[in-house]
Amino acid sequence: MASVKTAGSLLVDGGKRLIAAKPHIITLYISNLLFGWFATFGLSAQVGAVTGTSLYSERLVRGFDLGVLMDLINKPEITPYSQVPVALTLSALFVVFQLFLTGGIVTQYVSNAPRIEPSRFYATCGENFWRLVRLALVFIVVAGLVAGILQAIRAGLDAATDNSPHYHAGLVLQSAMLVIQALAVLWVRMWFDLAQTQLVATGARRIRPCIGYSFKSARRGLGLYGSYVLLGTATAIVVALGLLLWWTEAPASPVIISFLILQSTLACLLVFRWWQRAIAGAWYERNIPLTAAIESVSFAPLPPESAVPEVPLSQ
Amino acid sequence: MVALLFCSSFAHGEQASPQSNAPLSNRIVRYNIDATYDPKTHTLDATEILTYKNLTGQPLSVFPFHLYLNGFQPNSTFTHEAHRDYRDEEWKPSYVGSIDIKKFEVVGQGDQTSRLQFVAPDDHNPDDRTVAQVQLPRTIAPGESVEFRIQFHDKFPEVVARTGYKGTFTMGAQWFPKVGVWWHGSWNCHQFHETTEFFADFGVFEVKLTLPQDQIVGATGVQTSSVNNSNGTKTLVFQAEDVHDFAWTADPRYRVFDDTFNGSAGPVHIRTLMQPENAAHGPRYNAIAKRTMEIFDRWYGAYPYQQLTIVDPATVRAGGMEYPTLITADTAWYLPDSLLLTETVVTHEFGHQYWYGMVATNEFEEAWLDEGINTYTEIKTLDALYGKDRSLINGKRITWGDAQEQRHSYEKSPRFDPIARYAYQFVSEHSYGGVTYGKTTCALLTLEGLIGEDRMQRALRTWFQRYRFTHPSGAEFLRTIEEISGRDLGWYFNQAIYGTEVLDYEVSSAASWPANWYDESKPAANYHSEVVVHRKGEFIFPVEVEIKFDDGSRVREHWDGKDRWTRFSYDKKARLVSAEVDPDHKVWLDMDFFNNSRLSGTSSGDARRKLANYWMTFWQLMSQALGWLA
Repeated sequence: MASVKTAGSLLVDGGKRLIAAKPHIITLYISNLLFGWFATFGLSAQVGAVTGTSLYSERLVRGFDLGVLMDLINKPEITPYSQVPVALTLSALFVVFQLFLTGGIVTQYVSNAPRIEPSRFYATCGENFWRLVRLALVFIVVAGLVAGILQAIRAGLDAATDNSPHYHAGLVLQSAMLVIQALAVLWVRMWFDLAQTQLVATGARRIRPCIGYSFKSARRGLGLYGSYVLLGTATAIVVALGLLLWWTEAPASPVIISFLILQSTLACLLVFRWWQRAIAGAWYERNIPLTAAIESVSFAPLPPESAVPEVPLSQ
Repeated sequence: MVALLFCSSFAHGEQASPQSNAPLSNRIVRYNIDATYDPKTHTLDATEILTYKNLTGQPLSVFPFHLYLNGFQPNSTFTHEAHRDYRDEEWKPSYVGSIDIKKFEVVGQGDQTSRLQFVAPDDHNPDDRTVAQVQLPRTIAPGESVEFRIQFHDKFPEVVARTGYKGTFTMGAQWFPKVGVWWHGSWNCHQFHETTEFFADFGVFEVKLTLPQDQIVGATGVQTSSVNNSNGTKTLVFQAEDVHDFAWTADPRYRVFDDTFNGSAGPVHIRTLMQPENAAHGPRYNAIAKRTMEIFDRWYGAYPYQQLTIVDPATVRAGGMEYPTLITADTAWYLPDSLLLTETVVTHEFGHQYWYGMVATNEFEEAWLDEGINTYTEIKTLDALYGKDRSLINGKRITWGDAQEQRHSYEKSPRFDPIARYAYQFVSEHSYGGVTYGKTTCALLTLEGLIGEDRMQRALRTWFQRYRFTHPSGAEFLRTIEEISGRDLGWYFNQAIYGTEVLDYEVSSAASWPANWYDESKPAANYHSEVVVHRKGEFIFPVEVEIKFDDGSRVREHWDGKDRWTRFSYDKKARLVSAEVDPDHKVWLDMDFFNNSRLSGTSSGDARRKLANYWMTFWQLMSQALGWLA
């Protein structure tokens, strides 16, 4: 019950911090949009060359005939695969840009101030960039390991239940494993969000102690995890609703309607993700004194959630 | 309605009561099989009494038999060909299947087991054991009958293709020694191949099947009795007449959905056996089955059997297959109503009751006659029920026509194989599918555009009425089309059926310019317009060309397509807006619909913007997903 209350207050607190960081989130969304737009140039030119002079392409405009789309994709001059390297590069650039801004945004989150100075914001962006890159690489390895192990278990169960007469048992088991997999990876994400927060908040140079300490913190952050799960669920619902709306309304409507539906969905995804990080910032501020320097942290047992330690961690 | 149907049936000279005892076929074979199946070991032991009536007009001393289950062995021709096309497919020990003949006796000639030998007439693969033949000591005279008594043992594989088990589900198909067909003056008994299906003589089947009492069973024909035995088993008897194969299925988990179709030949019991997880789709199966049966009854003729069994298999590998009076379909509990995959497969497999079941063409050598014609009639049926451009996906906004899907499958490999080719001689399974299903469908749709929809339907009706319960060939099909259309279509068939020529027309240019273009000081009063149509492919086909002008006028031109290109010129007050080859969209063999038209200017660009928007969204999503990792 306490965890539920904690999750609720964390959501509100995180929401406030998210609003404070609004300009940066909007910057991220616009960069996401721009990088996506750049990625369309090549394919758009190819498609335009075919559809621009053909009556047949009208069937993609009035309604959305998947058969016509397949016809288009089958044409040798339309090569979506050839556009993938450019699009992937642009995606990678977005990730780098996001990593760059992360330091500043997390500083904004943990400061709990209405708005930090731009100079401080960009200074923390620059200071933390390479440390956050290293942390991201470790996260990829850890999350990959966790997902891989669970995937192997799932595959084993799949093989074991392949010829099972209890079809439903197999299906339920598989579904349960999928949920467990998603929850586990989400927990790892939360752990590393805390590590990011700690890294930025303390200005620690080494990431390993940060990861270790955040792991211990995350184990006690049930309320934090609850709010992560809530926002993760909300994300899934928003995606489902966006797709449903697109499926039922958008294809035959003017391009602008489709654009607005899809962009609203994407904006929500971005907001929910940064809301999670804001919650991590709020939780961190409540539970760990900002003066703590990670280098000298002694990994003593952590205090209960929401309780400030009696003895501040010394520098 | 009933009276109308009766009159229609009577007018076409059909059997007044096809469900009566009067034979519909020549009943060359009679199979009496007494089989016991053990679902725990997936094995079956049986005694088969096959009575073969020699109607060949000549003495016979050699008899070949199909032993299809032996195809499921690592060195068989079937497995070799499948591995060639699907290298990533693993081989599991459970995929092994076999059929062993324990005793082979010929009544009046004694035990001939030792005289049985495996032959591989198609590829001489010494390890292929899917055909065995026996040389009898005494010939069977024309008109004489011979009785074979065969004891055999089956080991069913985990389903690789069509037959076998999966969990508690069993599909008993191609499970008994089946004699070849004397066709065109010789035995026709091919090995089992990756791409081939089956060919057999019409006859009568009486099958006794003993298996555990908890099994729910469906089979070809109708069940005539069921007796519970003291050892926990039950013995079911099935009777099927005027069919050329017998299949059965068993699963204790089946949910049964019964329905009735009242056809022009009387009521037909529809018995649908659903996997429990898909049970909600039982009524969906029955609804589309009835609607399809009604259309086939009206368009082609009566379904003469008393029952149709529809099986929802536990694995897709056993799905989408036809057997006389029994079909396997495929669905998933989560498939929404707007995705018509369930409907497509039921309509397709039911269609095979006509094109395979009754018009029993040679699936080894002329697969297009069953798969191709059947896909064409599937499309006609689904188009009639759902609309032309929405017979595969019938979404509120998103649509996809079944015909378009078939055309895509053909587009992927159009140049390797002609339609008229033995199924196992195609370059790959991919080419076989694309040409046999896709190209044949496009060829028939194009033919329909050429001779008219009504004539095409009459030709198919005639084909069915004239050749049902026989083994006609492709030449007879093409002759039927020519006869009903009243046209010599050899030029078309040579290219579409026997050739690999590709059909592709394009409007290579369409433009207008002022007649007084040299004097820019004066406004244009007249415009000169020119359209050039280019035949890009080798396939020669006459086409219509429609030219539209900005005063709303239209001109229709006809071009025989014999030259490589042609030019149409106009001097009018109006300027040209667009030119389009095949404006009525009748030429489905055309490989590229986009180049069939050309605007003199450019379009609004909405299609480009729409697709660019989706592409952008995808990559934004991808970026965010990657961002999640950081």
